[in-house]
Parts: sequence; structure tokens; C-alpha cells
Amino acid sequence: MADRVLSLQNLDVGYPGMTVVHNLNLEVAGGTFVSLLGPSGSGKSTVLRTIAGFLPALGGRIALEGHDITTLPPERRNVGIVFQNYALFPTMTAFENIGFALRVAKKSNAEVEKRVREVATMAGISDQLDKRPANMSGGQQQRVAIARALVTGSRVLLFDEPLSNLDAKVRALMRQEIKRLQTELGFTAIFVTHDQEDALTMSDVIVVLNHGRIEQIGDGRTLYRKPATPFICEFIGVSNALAPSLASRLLGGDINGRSFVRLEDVLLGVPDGLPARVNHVEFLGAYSRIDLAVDGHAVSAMLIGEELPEPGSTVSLAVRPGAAHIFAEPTS
Amino acid sequence: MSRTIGLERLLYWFGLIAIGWAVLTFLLAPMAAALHAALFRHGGLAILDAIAELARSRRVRAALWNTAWLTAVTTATVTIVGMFQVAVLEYFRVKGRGFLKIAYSTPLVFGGVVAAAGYNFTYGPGGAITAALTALFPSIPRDWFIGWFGVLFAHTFLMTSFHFLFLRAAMRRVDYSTIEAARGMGASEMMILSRVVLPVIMPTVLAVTLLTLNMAVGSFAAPQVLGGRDFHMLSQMVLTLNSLRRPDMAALLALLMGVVLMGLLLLSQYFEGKGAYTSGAKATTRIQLRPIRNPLMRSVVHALAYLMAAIYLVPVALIVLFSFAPASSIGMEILPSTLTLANYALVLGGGTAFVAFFNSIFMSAGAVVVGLAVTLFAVPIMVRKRNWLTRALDASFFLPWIIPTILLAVGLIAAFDAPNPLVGNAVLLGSYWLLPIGYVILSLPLMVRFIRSAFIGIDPVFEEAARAMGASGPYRFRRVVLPLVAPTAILVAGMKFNNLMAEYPLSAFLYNVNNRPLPIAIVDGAVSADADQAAISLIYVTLIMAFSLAIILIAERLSLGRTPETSNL
Repeated sequence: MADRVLSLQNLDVGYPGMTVVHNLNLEVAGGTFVSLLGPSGSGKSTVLRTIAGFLPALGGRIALEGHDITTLPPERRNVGIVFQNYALFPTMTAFENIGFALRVAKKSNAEVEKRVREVATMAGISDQLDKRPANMSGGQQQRVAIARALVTGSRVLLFDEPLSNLDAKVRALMRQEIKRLQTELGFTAIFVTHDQEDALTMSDVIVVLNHGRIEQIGDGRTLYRKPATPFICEFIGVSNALAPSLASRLLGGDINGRSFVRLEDVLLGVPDGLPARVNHVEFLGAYSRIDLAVDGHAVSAMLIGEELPEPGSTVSLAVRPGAAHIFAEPTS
Repeated sequence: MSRTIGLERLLYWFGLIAIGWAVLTFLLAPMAAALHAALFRHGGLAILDAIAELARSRRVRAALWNTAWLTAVTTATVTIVGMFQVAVLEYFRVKGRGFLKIAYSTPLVFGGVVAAAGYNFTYGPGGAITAALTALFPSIPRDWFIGWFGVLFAHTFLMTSFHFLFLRAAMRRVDYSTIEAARGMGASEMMILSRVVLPVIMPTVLAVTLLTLNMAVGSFAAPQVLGGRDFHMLSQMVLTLNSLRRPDMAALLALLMGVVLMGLLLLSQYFEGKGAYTSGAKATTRIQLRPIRNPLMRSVVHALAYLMAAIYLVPVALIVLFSFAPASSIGMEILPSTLTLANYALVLGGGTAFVAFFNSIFMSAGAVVVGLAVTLFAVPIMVRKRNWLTRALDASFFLPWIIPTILLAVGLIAAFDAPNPLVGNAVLLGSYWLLPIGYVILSLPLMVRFIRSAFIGIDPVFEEAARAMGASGPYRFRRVVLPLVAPTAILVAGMKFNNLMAEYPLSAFLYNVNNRPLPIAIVDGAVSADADQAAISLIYVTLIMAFSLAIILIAERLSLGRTPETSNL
């Protein structure tokens, strides 16, 4: 693994009189794509704004490439930021927006010209440089924002939900673009999102935040397959939360804690299963969602294929062995 | 701390102290001086004596009576004319609405001293209409328009800007589905108008009526130009008392007027606040023009609408036309027989006729630049740092909007007619600078209001982005923030420059021979029997109208509208 680029040690973030995230510890290796994932109000953007320097750290330490930047103002931190609404200066062209940081650093005109064109080519917007943001599409603005963050050669780029303003198709395209640029240029990305698909598709490491604390840190596969907490089960992917009595019957043994089964792990039409009544069948294109009732409990399953049970019919239902996630804590 | 940051902080505190000193010296101290002059005499409170003395004056009593009855009648006539205009433009289907809209909007460019002088040139003793009338009816005296009738006529047709701006907007907010619902239930046209439409726009009607009342009470240029020798109103009395070396009585009268005007302003704000009737419907239907089904009524409405348009447009057309006429044709011809650019050459050529024009351009431009500098420095601080100091500063900047201009003028005279330690014991009265300082004070409320809105409208993320890219405070302000507020700043500067070029009340109190501005020259030209001076005044009026029109068109493009304070009769 590459060297540590960003280090958050016992970091408390928030606002005067209100700590949003307590005691955050995170070591980010160089060239890693880290997503801060969580629902609204989980504190992920607050963490990002604290790393950027827009909010003072309430406690702890932030180190960038070994240097303590905890108390440095944003203009002296040398981190690039891509904002949610891109924050492109509307009075400037794409060229001027990208070259802004170089002008601030008093680079020569020739160097500004060279660097801007280089980075614009990388971002695929070399033909857009004379346009103002108002005359660009959302995707083009996004690319300008990324190019602007990249131009100074910052090794760490912070992304504050930059895909949330894009429609589904452009969003998918931009995910690939951001990932491509990150891989090619090797910068470290801290990407804030509430969208699990963004996080799962792009990230090397996902930090899941909830109510100001870290629920789990890991890659997407681990979070999905080995969720550490009930929150992760419910937040990442779609799961059935099983009542203890049903869990005991389906999984065997005496289960008092909380149990979750992902939809694709619910098996239908298997021998020795529990009888389940089909309430509703929802065709969703690539797969179908089947809503069932077992002993008065609602359970959903996911089926791929053309053969689907009829609503009102009874099918046999079981759970894929070893696929359930059981937590000792009692149901709330 | 780096050297740059230290310098920034030094400049910041220097600017803040300078603004604090300016507010104290030129806003608060004059107000205190006006109050002192009005309420105290020989070291003691003497308000009752002063009121008794005012009451004993026959001229003051006459001015008070004139102001009272003319205000009452003006309010009625303006409401009738204004509501008729709104009905014609926004409610009934009347042919040629676009043309009528242009005609009815002329008070926006043709107000205050410009309009008063314009009406005098049209209907006054030397006016083209008077020339036409006396040619037809020789028994009509040439000064038939001069006196209370002229003032009332000018008020009636020139104080409709509030109706044009606000009442039309209120009418557009009426949900047309409520009209259709009433119609579906069998309501007559009159019933719909009185029971459905009028209640919705009534708060705006009341607010606009009170603003009209406010303007009529404080009317200055119209009675000054059109009132003649025998008809005076209170504002003129304040000026007269001041020139008679009775600043105490002038201040008291101005203060009493100020109390009335402030009361009216507060009342209008109260009604304006009540003006938002929401239909509760998720989607309101835009109001549609109603046809007038009765043919006789339709003809009458059309005739009145076009007659009114003629009343608005004829003076403007005649002024523009006669600005190209030789001085000898003014007052002699109904329409000029020859056209010339000689008058324009005389005014713009740099001779004595240019002096008033130059004075106004220099003082207005200077005031706008200083006002803009103060605003651009203070507003970001007031927006970002909310504390008692910035709140006090904010409130102080808006004082000139609440206080009548003549009270401000009296205050400035009272504060600076003797050595004042706040300005290094200088006596500013009689100097060149007191009038431009007054112009700066007058320009602040509008500038602060618009530029504050512009600053608040800037997404803070732009500054954050610039900060993240290493930009320092002044660099961010210069490269990111300033370009964003520049369109508003330029527009507001233009609007204010335009206002100041035609500013009469303050100019009348504070001008002297060294800085005689355009509005004073216009009034002098309007009441002068000298045709050459009248011709020069026509050029002044035409140039101000052209500039006003340009500013309004730019404002319309930028969707900022126009503040009603431009019409300062």
C-alpha cells in the first residue's frame, strides 16, 4: 500500500456548541478513493468541510502528507474541492475558472495556458474552454469543476456530492469519468455521497457514517456481504428485517436479536421451505420483486427470469444457507 | 501573521472608522441639530412657543391649509386616475394597450422638477398649449394654468407611478379562476369587480394611496414652478423660513412634516404587509382581460384612456420638439416652424449654459462614486457580521429614506452653519461640498438596499471555492465577488445618478452660486420670462428624460424594476 496522505486523528467536527462527529479516526493511503457514505444529517459533509478548512476542527488533528493542517486556513491547505453545485464562477469562462488557482499563485501566462489546456484535455473539455458555465451542460460543468480542482496538482481532492445534480445517465457516465481520472492521475479522493451506488461503484474504501459516528469502514463487497451493524444491513442494499419468531423458524435455533436477509438470498420454490402467500409481483425489468406473507410477516424476494409466481398463489420459501446477518442486539 | 494580512486588517479598521465618522457627522449630527433647532431656544425647551409663533404667521397658516386640502384632493384624483389606468391596462380589453402602457409610464421618466418644468413649458404662460388656447380664445389669460389648478393637475397625472408599478402587479396576482367562479355563479361584471377583485387588491390600493398622500404632503417642485406667487405649500414655507434666517421655525415645520410623512410611510408599510392574499390554490390562473360588453361604456372607456394618454404624451412630445426650436418660437408658436441644434450646441458646447449641467454631472457622479465605495465596503461587513454595530450602521444608512429630504437639508444647514468640530471646525454651509455630501447621503439607502440584496444572493460556495484555490480576501473580493455584484452596482449607480441630476428639494436648500445644479437651473428657466433661458431649460429637461429612459430600459432588461422615489414632486 502507498504511503498515508491524509490522516484524521481523534477528530471532532461540528459547530460551536454542537459536535456533529465525535472522535473520528481515519488513515487514507495515497491514491485511494474513499467515500464518506451516510444518510442526510450523518455528518459526512461536515467532515469534508472540516478537512477543507471551512469549518474549524473542534478537537483532534488533521494531517496532510505528514504536515499538521488542523489550524491552517483553507487557502493554505492545498486540497482541491469539487462542490455539489460545482461553484464555477459565472462571470468567468471555463478557461478562466480552471486557471483561477494558477493566477492566484502568480504563474506566468504561458504556464497558465499550458496547464489549463493539459488538464482540460484530460477532463475532455478542451473544446469548451471559451464557454461560460451558463452555456454548458451539467456534465460539462462537472468536468470543468474537476479540472479546476486538479490544475494545481493537489494530491488530495475533496468531492462534496458532485453527482447529485445530474440525471441518471450522465451520473453513471461521470462516475466512470471521475474514477478514470483518479486512477490515471493517482490522486487521493475523498468523496461524500448519500448514494450507495456512487460509493459501491467508485470506492476502494467506504466509510459509512450514521448520526456522527462511523458504522463501518471497508470496501463495497465487505460492507454488502459482511455488514457490521444492523444500520449497514438496512442502508446498503435492500434487506428483509425478520421478526425473531420468523427468523427462528427460517434460520433454525432460538434467535432473539435482529436478523436480516437480502432479497436475493430469499429462495422460492425450494423443498422443505415455509409456505408463503404471494401478495404482489412487481416487474422491474432485469429482475422482479415478489412481496410475500409468511405467518403474517411480510418478506420480499428478488427473482430473475420469466417464470414468476401468480399473486394469491402459495409458494415454498427458504433462506440461502449462511446468508442471513444476525445481530445479538434485541429488536427495537 | 503575514504582512499582507496585517495591512488588510489595518485597511478594514480604517474603513470602518471612516464610515462610522461619516455616519455620525453627516447623518446623525444633522438630525440632532435639526431636532435641537426645532425644540430648543435660548437653552430651554421652547416647542410650544415656536408652534404658537408658526400659528400666528398668516403665510404659514395659508401654506398649511393649501397643503391639507390639496393633499386630500390629490389623493382622490390620483386614485381615480391610477385605478382607471390599472383597469385599462390589466383588467379590461382595450385596444392599443401597448401604446397606452407607454403613455401611462411617462411619469417614470418625466417626474419631479423635470415634469413640473415640462408642464410649465406646455401649459404655462409661455407654453404651446397656452399659445393655442389664446389663439382660439383671446380672453383666456396666459397664466390660466398657474396656481392651485396647475399644481393639482400636475399631481393628478404625475403621481400615478405607484399605481403603475405596484397596483398593476397586484392586479396581475388576482387568481382568474376566482373571477370565473363568480361568473359561473351568475355575478355581474360590477359585482365581480367590487366583491372579488377589489378586496384582493385593496391592501395595495391603501398602501399606494398613503404613498400618494406622502408625496402630496411633501410636494415641492410642483408648487414652486406651477403655484405662482399666491399658492404656496409647506415645503416652500420651510425654504422661505430658512432664507428669512429663521432656522428654528424652518426646522420645526420640517420636523412636523417629517412626523406626518413618517407616520404615513409606516402606515403604508403596514398595509403593504397585509397585501399578500394567497388563494390557497396550488396553481393560480393568470388574470385574463375582460371584454366590455356595453358598447357605450366601451366607447367612453376608450375615449378616456386615449385622452389620458394624450395628457401624458403631449408635454413630452412638445418639450422634445421645442428643444430643437429657436428660442424665439417658444411661447409664440404652437408648433415650431424651424428646427435647429443651436440650443444643444449652446448647452453642450461648454459655455455658461453648460455650467449647471457640468455642476450636476460632477456632483452627482462624485456622490455616486463615494456612495458606491461606502456601500461596497460596508455591505459585505453588514451581511457577514451581524452585531449591534453593524445593525446600527444598517439602520443609519436607511435613515434618509425615512426622513423627509427637507428635514435632512435643514439638519445639514443647522449642523454646518457654524464651525463644527466633527469636520475640523470648518463651516461647510456656503462651501461647494455640502450639497454633494447631501447627495451622497441621499444615494445611500437605494445603493445599500440593492447591493445588499446582490451580496445576499451570492452563493457562499463561490468564495469557498476561491479560498480553497488559495485566493486571499481582497483577491476574492476583486475577482469573484465584485464581478457578481457589478451589474447591480452599475445599474444602481445609474439610477441614482439619474435621480441626483433631477434632485430638487435638497438642492434648493443647499446650493450656492458656485455649485448651482441643473434642477435649480431648470426651475429658474421655467419661471423666467427670458425665452433663451427657457430654451436652455428645455435641453436640460430633454437630456434628463433621455437618460432616465435609458436607465429604465437597462433596468427592465436586468429585471430590477425602478424604485418609485424617482418622482419627487
